[in-house]
Amino acid sequence: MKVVFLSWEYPPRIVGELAWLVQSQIEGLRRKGLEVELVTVSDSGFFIEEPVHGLRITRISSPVYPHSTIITWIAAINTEAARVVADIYHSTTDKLILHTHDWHFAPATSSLKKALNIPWVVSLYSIEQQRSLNPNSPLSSCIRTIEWHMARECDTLLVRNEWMLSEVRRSLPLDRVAVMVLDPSSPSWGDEVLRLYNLLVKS
Amino acid sequence: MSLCVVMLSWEFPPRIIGGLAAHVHDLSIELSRKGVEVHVLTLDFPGAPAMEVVNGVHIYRVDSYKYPSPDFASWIAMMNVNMLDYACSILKNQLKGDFIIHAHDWLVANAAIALKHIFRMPLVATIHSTEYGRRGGIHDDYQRMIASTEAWLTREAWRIICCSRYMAGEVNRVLGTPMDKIDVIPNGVYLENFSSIGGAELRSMFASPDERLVLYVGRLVHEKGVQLLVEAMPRILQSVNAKLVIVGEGYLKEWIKRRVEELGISQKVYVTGFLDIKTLRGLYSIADVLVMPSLYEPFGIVALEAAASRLPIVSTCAGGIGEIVSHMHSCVSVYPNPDSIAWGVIQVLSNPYLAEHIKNNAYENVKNNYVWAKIAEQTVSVYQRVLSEYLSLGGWKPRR
Repeated sequence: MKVVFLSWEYPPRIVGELAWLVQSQIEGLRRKGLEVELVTVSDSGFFIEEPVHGLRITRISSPVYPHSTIITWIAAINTEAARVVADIYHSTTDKLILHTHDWHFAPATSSLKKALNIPWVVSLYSIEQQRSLNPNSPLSSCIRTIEWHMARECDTLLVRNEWMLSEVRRSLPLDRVAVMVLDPSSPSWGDEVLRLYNLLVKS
Repeated sequence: MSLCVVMLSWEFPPRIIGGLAAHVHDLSIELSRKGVEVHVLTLDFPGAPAMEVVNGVHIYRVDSYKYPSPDFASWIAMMNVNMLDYACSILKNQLKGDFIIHAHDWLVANAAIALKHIFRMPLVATIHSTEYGRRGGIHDDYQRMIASTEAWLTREAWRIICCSRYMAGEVNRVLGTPMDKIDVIPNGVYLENFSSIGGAELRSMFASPDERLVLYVGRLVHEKGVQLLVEAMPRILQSVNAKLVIVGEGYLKEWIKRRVEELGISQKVYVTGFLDIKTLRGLYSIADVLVMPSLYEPFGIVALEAAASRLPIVSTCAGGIGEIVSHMHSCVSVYPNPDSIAWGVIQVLSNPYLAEHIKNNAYENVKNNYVWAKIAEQTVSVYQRVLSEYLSLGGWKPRR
């Protein structure tokens, strides 16, 4: 089994807290012997990093430049993400799991899941309803719809605490998805996530 | 070798934005007649079924407003996301063997490229026009984004199809696509659609019996050169009693109306706006000459329609038109200025032998080279070439 993490930030590309959270999660899972690959974003062109301690990182970049909005950029990097993940899929016989963080790579992952039957786990740290000063603006509505679609299509949604669970419950449709409260800073996080991956691969 | 193709187009009848809808529709039906399994992914339209099979063509209409979007470019982006997602869920079940993905223009680039990589199937793209050509250059970041998307699509495609050698040259020059990656396949026409004869009754709606009918069909925009034809009209009227009928819509409409009043020829120019297809075909058959004064023309489908209706053509032969008709053989070729256009129109209207000669040659040319059956055949050969290259390479096939 191999897990592909997809995150729009990872050190040294740091936008907020996500970069560090994803890094510590990957390190935790790899310490437990799980094979992890990371697909993340580069601001300076596509490249594959020399594996550091065995972690393969593909930094994708938009093949289109410039962009008129973040949405056109998101669509282009999702197409690139689909290409990179499909390449991983077609070059291995391992069972894959896709684990995305927040909404940015939801479009590509949803299509990959449908076409190639790859299980999909989402870790949700915040939602547009909370982040945006104007959640009903056309831009925020678009992002909220991506999150909504993500909640409908993914297999499991992970949130950090009960408060986030209640926020998600108020904003997203959870009738088709399993939701788990798992604190990434707790010592049992790695074991719980491993158990979840194994369940998803078997099903 | 059995062929299966998945077409992606943002317009397909009854959703008609420009010329793309008719092109994809006619091509799909003709391909299906030739035994190709055709699946068309397009956008929804009020009243049109989400899924249907028409003349053997499987049509899937995707919800185009699933994601609210702040502007047109974002709408296109999210429409692609949605089209891809839909394609992934249906294609997995519908298609068991190899297939070709055929994208039409940049509007479906994201979905087509992602489909190619996810399923590892070859991609063919038709570039009908470029942002550079449509807007006479790249002037801002918004256009730069579109041009960059066009270039990306041509990089990702196995083969590129252009409708004329002129367009192939433009794609090569503007997008940097190697010439040997481009196949030129013209647009097509169904001759039988233009055999109808409009009678005197139809003619009386547009011109009096003693007036010769000069026809313009096209968008009323700068690149089509309609403004030059309006300026040529007073010179034409000095020699011939004629009526200019302008069919189409565009931002120059009000300018044209104002200008013909200034020129004192408002009773000699009739701007009809959009006409239904039946009236338009009738007009082709009763007009005396068609003028195509274009400054930019990727192909020039109007020339095919006029030729199919045995209507003599006067044209600047810009872009692709010059590949369909030639001077004093199948058209009268003029320079893009009012004097030259007036000269050409007068030549045709005052010389019936010339008019007969050029219209017959143009008709024969269309009959021999531009009917859909022939165009579809050429498209099939591109598909066959792509598929055999794809199969012989072997290394880039899906895992299972």
